[in-house]
Amino acid sequence: MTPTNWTDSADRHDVAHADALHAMRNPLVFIEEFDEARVEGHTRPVSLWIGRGRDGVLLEVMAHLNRKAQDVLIFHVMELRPKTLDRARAIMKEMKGE
Amino acid sequence: MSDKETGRELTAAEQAAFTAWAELIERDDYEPRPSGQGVALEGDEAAAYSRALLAELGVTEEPAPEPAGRGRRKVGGSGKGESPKRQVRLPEDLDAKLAERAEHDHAAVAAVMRDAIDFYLTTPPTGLAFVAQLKKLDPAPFARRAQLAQSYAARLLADHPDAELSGDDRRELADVLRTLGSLAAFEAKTLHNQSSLTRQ
Repeated sequence: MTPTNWTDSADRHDVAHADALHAMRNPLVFIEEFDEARVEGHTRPVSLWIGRGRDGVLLEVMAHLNRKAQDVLIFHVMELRPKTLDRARAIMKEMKGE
Repeated sequence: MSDKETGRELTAAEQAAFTAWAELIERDDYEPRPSGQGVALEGDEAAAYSRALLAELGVTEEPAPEPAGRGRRKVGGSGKGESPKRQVRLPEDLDAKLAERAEHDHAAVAAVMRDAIDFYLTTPPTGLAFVAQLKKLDPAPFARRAQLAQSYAARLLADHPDAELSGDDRRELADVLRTLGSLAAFEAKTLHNQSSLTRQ
């Protein structure tokens, strides 16, 4: 049984799941705790991946990770937007104390 | 679709909540609230960590390769039909760099080219990087003018070792460059090199 689960919202932009997984396996940027949970009943922080799909298009992927239950809940996948890259860079800068 | 954190199928209300959140994420006023914990990685470190993490989580299925001959995809924009196509010849060394970058990023060469063009056309040069780029230019064709510009740039860099140049400094530098005479070729070469500026 696959541990990857996809909400309906993950398919809003018709990105193939294989492309999202490719981006997650080959990220250019990975932020483990990019955002806090915002849906009731879900407490794990949100992880962000920025990486390329199989055809090279840059994607942004967000998911809840649950190590204990070995579960990945992917709820946001779309082509990378400059705004997301800016947010990621700002967070990385802050975490590095720059 | 199940959620193991709660041990049950997601309800319609939860699906709707995730959809609402995904819509919020796409808005300009969305601001993430990072905990400051966990890792934040780039490049090879990000890939290595993420692969190990996914393996730990049991995500072992390999994505299938991009199917061949599935037709030309639309690569953005709002129009319909195939995206416009451009062809360009590259110097061998630039082509080698392009291939190396594509391999490093696990990306198609065309995707790297799209990103580079987009970056070139949408990213203004930053102050310190702009000056650093000026210093790297071969001064031979411009002799004295370029030497003066580089000398000035070196002074600015010495005055600002750790920070981006202010708007005033950039304007001052631009004024100096303009008063050095006809710098069309110089500026053209600088513009040509802009695509690498903020990658430094």
